[in-house]
Amino acid sequence: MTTSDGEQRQAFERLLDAARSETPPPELGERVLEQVAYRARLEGIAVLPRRRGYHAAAAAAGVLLLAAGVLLVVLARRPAADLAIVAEQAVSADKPSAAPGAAAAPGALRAGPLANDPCLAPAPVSGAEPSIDDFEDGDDAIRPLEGRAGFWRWAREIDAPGTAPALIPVPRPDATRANRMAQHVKGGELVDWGATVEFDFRPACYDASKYVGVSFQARGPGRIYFAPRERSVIPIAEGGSCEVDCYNPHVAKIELESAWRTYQVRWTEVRQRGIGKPALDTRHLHSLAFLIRAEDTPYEVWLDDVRFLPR
Amino acid sequence: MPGQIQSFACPDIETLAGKSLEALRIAPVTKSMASADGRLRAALANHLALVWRVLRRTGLGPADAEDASQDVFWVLAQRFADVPERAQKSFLVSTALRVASDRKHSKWYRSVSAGLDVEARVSEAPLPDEALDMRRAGALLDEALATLEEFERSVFVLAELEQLTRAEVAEVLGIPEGTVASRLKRARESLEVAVRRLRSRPRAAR
Repeated sequence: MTTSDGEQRQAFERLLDAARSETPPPELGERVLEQVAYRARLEGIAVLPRRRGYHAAAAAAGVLLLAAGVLLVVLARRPAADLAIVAEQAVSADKPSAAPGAAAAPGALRAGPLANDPCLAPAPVSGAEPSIDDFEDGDDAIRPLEGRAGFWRWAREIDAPGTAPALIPVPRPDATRANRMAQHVKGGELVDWGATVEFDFRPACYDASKYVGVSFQARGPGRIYFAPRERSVIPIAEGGSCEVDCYNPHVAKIELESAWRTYQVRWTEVRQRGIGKPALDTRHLHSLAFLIRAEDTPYEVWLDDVRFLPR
Repeated sequence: MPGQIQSFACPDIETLAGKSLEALRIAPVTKSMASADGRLRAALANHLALVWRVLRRTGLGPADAEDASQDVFWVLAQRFADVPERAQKSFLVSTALRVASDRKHSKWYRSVSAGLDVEARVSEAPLPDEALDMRRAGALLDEALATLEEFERSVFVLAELEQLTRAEVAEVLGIPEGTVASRLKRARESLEVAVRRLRSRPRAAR
């Protein structure tokens, strides 16, 4: 090694040392704490100890189910000769009910995707309150029916993540006394992924299986894609459960006209990009979105009376 | 598919609004959240600097690394029950790598991240010599690291800069320990060459 090589090597090591000693901005820790607390409150998640409650509930449910299973076996099959067969049948038939007992073991608990998975305690949905938002209240919140919550936003490729503006309804050009307000977005040419009008369900896991789809009024002209997004297409960091091939939601392409029309999209009519993809998981919806792709810009879209389609 | 979507012309629909003035309730801060806060504080005290450096050295600018740090610890906060304390470091590092990769590959990042670089905004301010040297060194190293293939870059950052053991790197990246050694050697050689090349550039070109 020449002197020059030695100096180069020393300079290189100094470079590495400098990188090893880099520290985060002084306030970052507090900002992370604030952000996590904020997200936890929005999701209604008690970040840590609720798990203990879940442990206890799972263990109690397991014990109860196991006891019930044993009691049923004993009562139903008295003769001793049948016991072995009955026990075997009971074990296989009761596998799902035995699972909560097994879930009390730490190993089994790790099988779940998230410790505080919002899907563990879904809001009860009767299927009798289909209105998602008619925008008549003039705010960006969806209607709080059947445990639904969420806020409309208008996200564009030019917005930094998390900074998409809230979308407040405006008066309809053809307003009537009963139907005054609607959502309206208008924008110029975009070059990347485009724009979206959307809201996330809060908590980010909504069971819409009591309904068969969504209807909405819309006005263009232009093309949009209606996308009911299940949790599995949204990255974990954004409240979903996706680890690979994220942001590939089920969509239905809709050609809007320049007059208001009502569109009905059934869950069976939305498709995911790719071959052999499964049907939409309507039990675990993360959000509803109306996507505008870059090739369909400039754009102007009106939306109103978004509602689930009852069975 | 478009043909199947039903649509109807809209008459002046008399919408029965049934307006509700009930404000959306946001869950209050509870006692349980407060104790979770303690655990999160401990994780931040132990690992925030590590997460920060991993995010920065894998290619995120300062502004984006701040946002990504929040994402990483949010993921941990949701999975405290699944991640034993001894595995927190590996979990955070692998989450940081994934979050950084997602952000770098997102179209948004490619289009606008350069404009949000905090360092670029403050670079004109006078700095003490030592801090300036550190910043220049960091920028030079990042430029050199950017010449590495992503996987080798991850190996180098974890094994050489963060000095994780080979077993830890192998676990985080899901590769055999032997591969860690060979990739680390190759990454180090490539990086030294890149640094020399960058240093030899005329100053005006930097």
